[in-house]
Amino acid sequence: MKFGRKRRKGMEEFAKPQMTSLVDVLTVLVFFLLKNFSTEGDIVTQTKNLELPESSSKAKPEQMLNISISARHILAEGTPVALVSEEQERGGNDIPGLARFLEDKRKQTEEIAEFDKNVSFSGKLTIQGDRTIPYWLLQKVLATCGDNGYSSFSLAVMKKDVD
Amino acid sequence: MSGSVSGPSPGGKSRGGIASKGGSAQGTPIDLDMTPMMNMLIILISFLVTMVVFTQLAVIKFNLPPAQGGGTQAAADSAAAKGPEVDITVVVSENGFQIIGEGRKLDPIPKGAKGYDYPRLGQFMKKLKEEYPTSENVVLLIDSNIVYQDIITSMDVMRENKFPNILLSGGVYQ
Repeated sequence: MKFGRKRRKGMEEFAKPQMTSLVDVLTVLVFFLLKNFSTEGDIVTQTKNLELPESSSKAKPEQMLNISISARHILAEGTPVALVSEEQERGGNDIPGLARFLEDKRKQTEEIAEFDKNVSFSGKLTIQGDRTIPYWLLQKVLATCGDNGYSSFSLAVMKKDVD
Repeated sequence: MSGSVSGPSPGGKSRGGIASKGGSAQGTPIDLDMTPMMNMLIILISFLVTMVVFTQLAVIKFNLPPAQGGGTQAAADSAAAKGPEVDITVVVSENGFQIIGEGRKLDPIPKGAKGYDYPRLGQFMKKLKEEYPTSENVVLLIDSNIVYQDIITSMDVMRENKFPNILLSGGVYQ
Protein backbone atom coordinates (compact mmCIF):
# COMPACT_ATOMS: atom_id res chain seq x y z
CA MET A 1 0.00 0.00 0.00
CA LYS A 2 2.56 2.48 1.08
CA PHE A 3 4.72 1.83 -1.87
CA GLY A 4 1.80 2.14 -4.22
CA ARG A 5 0.73 5.45 -2.76
CA LYS A 6 4.16 6.89 -3.16
CA ARG A 7 4.18 5.73 -6.68
CA ARG A 8 0.85 7.32 -7.42
CA LYS A 9 2.00 10.61 -5.96
CA GLY A 10 4.92 10.54 -8.34
CA MET A 11 2.62 9.83 -11.29
CA GLU A 12 0.43 12.82 -10.53
CA GLU A 13 3.25 15.13 -11.48
CA PHE A 14 3.15 13.94 -15.06
CA ALA A 15 5.68 15.25 -17.52
CA LYS A 16 4.56 18.47 -19.17
CA PRO A 17 6.02 19.43 -22.53
CA GLN A 18 7.55 22.87 -22.67
CA MET A 19 4.97 24.73 -24.70
CA THR A 20 6.47 28.21 -24.51
CA SER A 21 8.94 27.93 -27.37
CA LEU A 22 6.37 26.21 -29.55
CA VAL A 23 3.86 28.96 -28.90
CA ASP A 24 6.53 31.54 -29.70
CA VAL A 25 7.26 29.93 -33.03
CA LEU A 26 3.60 29.58 -33.90
CA THR A 27 2.87 33.18 -33.00
CA VAL A 28 5.70 34.45 -35.16
CA LEU A 29 4.45 32.25 -38.00
CA VAL A 30 0.93 33.59 -37.60
CA PHE A 31 2.14 37.18 -37.78
CA PHE A 32 4.29 36.42 -40.79
CA LEU A 33 1.40 34.79 -42.63
CA LEU A 34 -1.00 37.55 -41.67
CA LYS A 35 1.41 40.07 -43.11
CA ASN A 36 1.61 38.18 -46.38
CA PHE A 37 -2.09 37.57 -46.48
CA SER A 38 -3.89 39.51 -49.13
CA THR A 39 -7.60 39.87 -48.77
CA GLU A 40 -7.98 40.83 -52.38
CA GLY A 41 -7.83 37.28 -53.62
CA ASP A 42 -6.86 36.49 -57.15
CA ILE A 43 -7.86 39.31 -59.42
CA VAL A 44 -5.92 37.91 -62.29
CA THR A 45 -6.42 34.20 -62.71
CA GLN A 46 -3.10 32.81 -63.69
CA THR A 47 -3.10 30.63 -66.73
CA LYS A 48 -1.44 27.26 -66.49
CA ASN A 49 1.63 26.36 -68.53
CA LEU A 50 2.68 29.94 -68.54
CA GLU A 51 5.55 31.59 -66.78
CA LEU A 52 5.17 35.32 -66.44
CA PRO A 53 8.24 37.51 -66.81
CA GLU A 54 9.73 39.19 -63.79
CA SER A 55 9.62 42.91 -63.36
CA SER A 56 10.27 45.59 -60.78
CA SER A 57 6.85 47.13 -61.41
CA LYS A 58 4.63 47.54 -58.39
CA ALA A 59 1.34 48.51 -60.00
CA LYS A 60 -1.54 46.39 -58.79
CA PRO A 61 -3.57 44.33 -61.20
CA GLU A 62 -7.21 45.14 -61.78
CA GLN A 63 -10.10 43.08 -62.92
CA MET A 64 -10.45 43.26 -66.68
CA LEU A 65 -10.54 41.20 -69.85
CA ASN A 66 -7.72 38.74 -69.92
CA ILE A 67 -5.65 37.63 -72.90
CA SER A 68 -3.01 34.95 -72.36
CA ILE A 69 -0.22 34.16 -74.75
CA SER A 70 1.53 30.89 -74.09
CA ALA A 71 4.17 29.30 -76.27
CA ARG A 72 1.47 27.44 -78.24
CA HIS A 73 -1.89 29.10 -77.85
CA ILE A 74 -3.51 32.46 -77.55
CA LEU A 75 -6.29 32.35 -75.00
CA ALA A 76 -9.00 34.92 -74.49
CA GLU A 77 -10.66 34.63 -71.10
CA GLY A 78 -9.46 31.05 -70.86
CA THR A 79 -10.75 29.85 -74.21
CA PRO A 80 -8.26 29.24 -76.99
CA VAL A 81 -8.79 31.58 -79.95
CA ALA A 82 -5.66 31.01 -82.00
CA LEU A 83 -2.67 28.76 -82.43
CA VAL A 84 0.73 30.36 -82.39
CA SER A 85 2.09 28.12 -85.14
CA GLU A 86 -0.75 29.09 -87.48
CA GLU A 87 -0.24 32.77 -86.79
CA GLN A 88 3.43 32.46 -87.54
CA GLU A 89 2.62 31.00 -90.94
CA ARG A 90 0.02 33.61 -91.70
CA GLY A 91 2.20 36.59 -90.97
CA GLY A 92 0.79 40.07 -91.03
CA ASN A 93 -0.44 41.92 -87.99
CA ASP A 94 -3.89 40.46 -87.57
CA ILE A 95 -5.17 37.50 -85.57
CA PRO A 96 -8.66 36.72 -86.90
CA GLY A 97 -9.72 34.47 -84.02
CA LEU A 98 -8.75 37.00 -81.40
CA ALA A 99 -10.22 39.86 -83.42
CA ARG A 100 -13.57 38.05 -83.58
CA PHE A 101 -13.58 37.49 -79.86
CA LEU A 102 -12.66 41.08 -79.05
CA GLU A 103 -15.27 42.45 -81.40
CA ASP A 104 -17.96 40.30 -79.81
CA LYS A 105 -16.92 41.41 -76.38
CA ARG A 106 -16.89 45.04 -77.36
CA LYS A 107 -20.32 44.85 -78.96
CA GLN A 108 -21.63 43.07 -75.91
CA THR A 109 -20.28 45.74 -73.59
CA GLU A 110 -21.59 48.53 -75.76
CA GLU A 111 -25.04 46.94 -75.87
CA ILE A 112 -25.09 46.70 -72.10
CA ALA A 113 -23.82 50.27 -71.87
CA GLU A 114 -26.92 51.46 -73.73
CA PHE A 115 -29.10 50.27 -70.90
CA ASP A 116 -26.83 50.70 -67.94
CA LYS A 117 -25.03 53.95 -67.33
CA ASN A 118 -22.58 52.33 -64.97
CA VAL A 119 -21.13 50.20 -67.72
CA SER A 120 -18.92 51.73 -70.32
CA PHE A 121 -16.45 50.38 -72.80
CA SER A 122 -13.02 51.17 -71.42
CA GLY A 123 -10.82 49.22 -73.82
CA LYS A 124 -8.77 47.74 -71.02
CA LEU A 125 -6.99 44.44 -71.29
CA THR A 126 -4.66 42.38 -69.19
CA ILE A 127 -2.08 40.52 -71.18
CA GLN A 128 -0.37 37.53 -69.67
CA GLY A 129 2.52 36.49 -71.80
CA ASP A 130 4.93 33.66 -71.26
CA ARG A 131 8.43 34.96 -70.69
CA THR A 132 9.75 33.13 -73.74
CA ILE A 133 7.38 34.43 -76.40
CA PRO A 134 9.02 36.42 -79.18
CA TYR A 135 8.21 40.05 -79.86
CA TRP A 136 6.45 39.49 -83.18
CA LEU A 137 3.78 37.49 -81.36
CA LEU A 138 3.26 40.18 -78.76
CA GLN A 139 3.17 42.80 -81.47
CA LYS A 140 0.51 40.86 -83.34
CA VAL A 141 -1.65 40.57 -80.27
CA LEU A 142 -1.22 44.24 -79.39
CA ALA A 143 -1.97 45.30 -82.95
CA THR A 144 -5.10 43.14 -83.09
CA CYS A 145 -6.30 44.54 -79.78
CA GLY A 146 -5.55 48.07 -80.90
CA ASP A 147 -7.48 47.58 -84.12
CA ASN A 148 -10.50 46.45 -82.14
CA GLY A 149 -10.57 49.44 -79.87
CA TYR A 150 -8.65 48.03 -76.94
CA SER A 151 -5.79 50.39 -76.34
CA SER A 152 -5.12 50.32 -72.62
CA PHE A 153 -2.97 47.38 -71.69
CA SER A 154 -1.72 45.92 -68.48
CA LEU A 155 1.09 43.48 -68.96
CA ALA A 156 0.93 40.96 -66.17
CA VAL A 157 4.29 40.30 -64.55
CA MET A 158 5.65 38.68 -61.45
CA LYS A 159 7.06 40.92 -58.80
CA LYS A 160 10.78 40.58 -58.56
CA ASP A 161 12.18 40.36 -55.06
CA VAL A 162 14.07 43.60 -54.84
CA ASP A 163 15.92 43.76 -51.53
CA MET B 1 -4.12 49.61 4.44
CA SER B 2 -4.71 47.61 7.54
CA GLY B 3 -6.47 44.87 5.60
CA SER B 4 -3.54 44.19 3.39
CA VAL B 5 -1.24 43.87 6.36
CA SER B 6 -3.41 41.51 8.36
CA GLY B 7 -4.54 39.39 5.41
CA PRO B 8 -2.79 36.18 4.49
CA SER B 9 0.14 36.78 2.25
CA PRO B 10 -0.05 34.64 -0.91
CA GLY B 11 3.25 32.95 -0.40
CA GLY B 12 3.66 31.68 3.12
CA LYS B 13 0.65 32.01 5.39
CA SER B 14 -1.97 30.42 3.21
CA ARG B 15 -0.19 27.10 3.32
CA GLY B 16 -2.15 25.99 6.28
CA GLY B 17 -5.44 26.87 4.56
CA ILE B 18 -7.39 25.46 1.62
CA ALA B 19 -4.37 24.94 -0.60
CA SER B 20 -2.93 22.29 1.63
CA LYS B 21 -5.81 19.99 0.74
CA GLY B 22 -4.60 19.96 -2.83
CA GLY B 23 -1.61 17.95 -1.72
CA SER B 24 1.37 17.89 -4.02
CA ALA B 25 0.06 20.68 -6.29
CA GLN B 26 0.79 23.17 -3.58
CA GLY B 27 4.44 23.96 -4.33
CA THR B 28 4.29 23.92 -8.13
CA PRO B 29 3.73 27.18 -9.99
CA ILE B 30 0.37 27.72 -11.67
CA ASP B 31 0.65 27.06 -15.36
CA LEU B 32 -1.77 28.22 -18.00
CA ASP B 33 -3.77 25.78 -20.03
CA MET B 34 -2.34 26.43 -23.46
CA THR B 35 -4.36 23.81 -25.28
CA PRO B 36 -7.17 26.01 -26.67
CA MET B 37 -4.71 28.66 -27.73
CA MET B 38 -2.57 26.07 -29.48
CA ASN B 39 -5.62 24.67 -31.21
CA MET B 40 -6.58 28.08 -32.43
CA LEU B 41 -3.10 28.97 -33.62
CA ILE B 42 -2.72 25.72 -35.50
CA ILE B 43 -6.07 26.13 -37.22
CA LEU B 44 -5.22 29.73 -38.08
CA ILE B 45 -1.86 28.73 -39.51
CA SER B 46 -3.27 25.97 -41.65
CA PHE B 47 -5.91 28.38 -42.93
CA LEU B 48 -3.36 31.05 -43.76
CA VAL B 49 -0.99 28.59 -45.36
CA THR B 50 -3.70 27.39 -47.72
CA MET B 51 -4.66 30.94 -48.64
CA VAL B 52 -1.21 32.40 -49.01
CA VAL B 53 -0.20 33.66 -52.42
CA PHE B 54 3.42 32.97 -53.09
CA THR B 55 3.72 34.64 -56.44
CA GLN B 56 2.95 38.29 -56.17
CA LEU B 57 1.42 39.61 -59.35
CA ALA B 58 1.90 43.07 -60.68
CA VAL B 59 1.19 44.79 -63.96
CA ILE B 60 2.94 47.20 -66.29
CA LYS B 61 0.52 49.65 -67.78
CA PHE B 62 0.94 51.13 -71.17
CA ASN B 63 -1.35 52.61 -73.77
CA LEU B 64 -1.59 52.63 -77.49
CA PRO B 65 -2.75 55.89 -78.97
CA PRO B 66 -6.45 55.42 -79.78
CA ALA B 67 -5.81 55.84 -83.49
CA GLN B 68 -7.79 53.26 -85.44
CA GLY B 69 -6.24 50.92 -87.89
CA GLY B 70 -2.72 51.36 -86.59
CA GLY B 71 -0.50 48.75 -85.14
CA THR B 72 2.42 49.37 -82.88
CA GLN B 73 4.40 50.90 -85.70
CA ALA B 74 1.74 53.56 -86.09
CA ALA B 75 1.93 54.13 -82.36
CA ALA B 76 5.57 55.00 -82.63
CA ASP B 77 4.98 57.25 -85.62
CA SER B 78 2.25 59.27 -83.98
CA ALA B 79 4.35 59.67 -80.87
CA ALA B 80 7.26 60.89 -82.94
CA ALA B 81 5.02 63.42 -84.67
CA LYS B 82 3.74 64.73 -81.36
CA GLY B 83 5.31 67.42 -79.20
CA PRO B 84 8.67 69.13 -79.27
CA GLU B 85 10.18 66.66 -76.82
CA VAL B 86 13.37 64.90 -77.66
CA ASP B 87 12.54 61.49 -78.87
CA ILE B 88 14.81 58.83 -77.70
CA THR B 89 14.70 55.51 -79.43
CA VAL B 90 16.27 52.44 -77.99
CA VAL B 91 16.83 49.70 -80.50
CA VAL B 92 16.73 46.26 -78.96
CA SER B 93 18.27 43.78 -81.34
CA GLU B 94 19.86 40.40 -80.95
CA ASN B 95 23.28 42.02 -80.78
CA GLY B 96 22.44 44.40 -77.97
CA PHE B 97 21.11 47.90 -77.48
CA GLN B 98 21.58 51.02 -79.54
CA ILE B 99 20.30 54.36 -78.39
CA ILE B 100 19.30 56.84 -81.06
CA GLY B 101 18.19 60.31 -80.12
CA GLU B 102 17.62 63.42 -82.22
CA GLY B 103 19.38 61.97 -85.19
CA ARG B 104 22.56 61.07 -83.39
CA LYS B 105 23.60 57.63 -82.38
CA LEU B 106 25.17 56.79 -79.11
CA ASP B 107 27.67 53.99 -78.73
CA PRO B 108 26.05 50.60 -79.11
CA ILE B 109 25.76 48.49 -76.01
CA PRO B 110 26.75 44.99 -77.05
CA LYS B 111 25.29 41.89 -75.52
CA GLY B 112 27.52 40.40 -72.86
CA ALA B 113 28.17 36.77 -72.12
CA LYS B 114 25.20 36.66 -69.75
CA GLY B 115 22.74 38.33 -72.12
CA TYR B 116 21.86 41.98 -72.34
CA ASP B 117 23.88 44.60 -70.51
CA TYR B 118 21.06 46.26 -68.58
CA PRO B 119 23.24 48.15 -66.07
CA ARG B 120 25.05 49.84 -68.96
CA LEU B 121 21.75 50.74 -70.61
CA GLY B 122 20.67 52.16 -67.27
CA GLN B 123 23.77 54.37 -67.12
CA PHE B 124 23.12 55.70 -70.62
CA MET B 125 19.48 56.43 -69.83
CA LYS B 126 20.46 58.20 -66.63
CA LYS B 127 22.85 60.41 -68.56
CA LEU B 128 20.14 61.17 -71.09
CA LYS B 129 17.73 62.04 -68.32
CA GLU B 130 20.26 64.50 -66.93
CA GLU B 131 20.66 66.06 -70.36
CA TYR B 132 16.93 66.25 -71.08
CA PRO B 133 15.16 66.34 -67.73
CA THR B 134 11.75 67.14 -69.20
CA SER B 135 11.74 64.30 -71.65
CA GLU B 136 9.60 61.37 -70.58
CA ASN B 137 9.01 59.48 -73.79
CA VAL B 138 11.06 56.68 -75.08
CA VAL B 139 10.44 54.37 -77.99
CA LEU B 140 11.59 50.81 -77.83
CA LEU B 141 12.34 49.52 -81.27
CA ILE B 142 12.34 45.81 -80.86
CA ASP B 143 13.58 43.11 -83.17
CA SER B 144 10.92 40.52 -83.90
CA ASN B 145 12.71 37.65 -82.22
CA ILE B 146 13.43 39.33 -78.91
CA VAL B 147 12.04 37.38 -75.99
CA TYR B 148 9.28 38.85 -73.83
CA GLN B 149 11.34 38.77 -70.64
CA ASP B 150 13.98 40.97 -72.27
CA ILE B 151 11.33 43.44 -73.41
CA ILE B 152 9.92 43.66 -69.89
CA THR B 153 13.35 44.12 -68.35
CA SER B 154 14.20 46.83 -70.88
CA MET B 155 10.95 48.56 -70.00
CA ASP B 156 11.91 48.28 -66.33
CA VAL B 157 15.22 49.98 -67.01
CA MET B 158 13.41 52.82 -68.80
CA ARG B 159 10.97 53.23 -65.94
CA GLU B 160 13.68 53.14 -63.30
CA ASN B 161 15.43 55.99 -65.08
CA LYS B 162 12.27 58.09 -65.14
CA PHE B 163 11.14 57.58 -68.68
CA PRO B 164 7.63 56.43 -67.85
CA ASN B 165 6.06 56.79 -71.27
CA ILE B 166 7.24 53.79 -73.15
CA LEU B 167 6.13 53.00 -76.66
CA LEU B 168 6.79 49.73 -78.34
CA SER B 169 7.65 49.57 -81.96
CA GLY B 170 8.83 46.87 -84.24
CA GLY B 171 9.13 45.60 -87.74
CA VAL B 172 12.31 47.46 -88.53
CA TYR B 173 14.30 44.49 -89.52
CA GLN B 174 11.67 42.76 -91.57
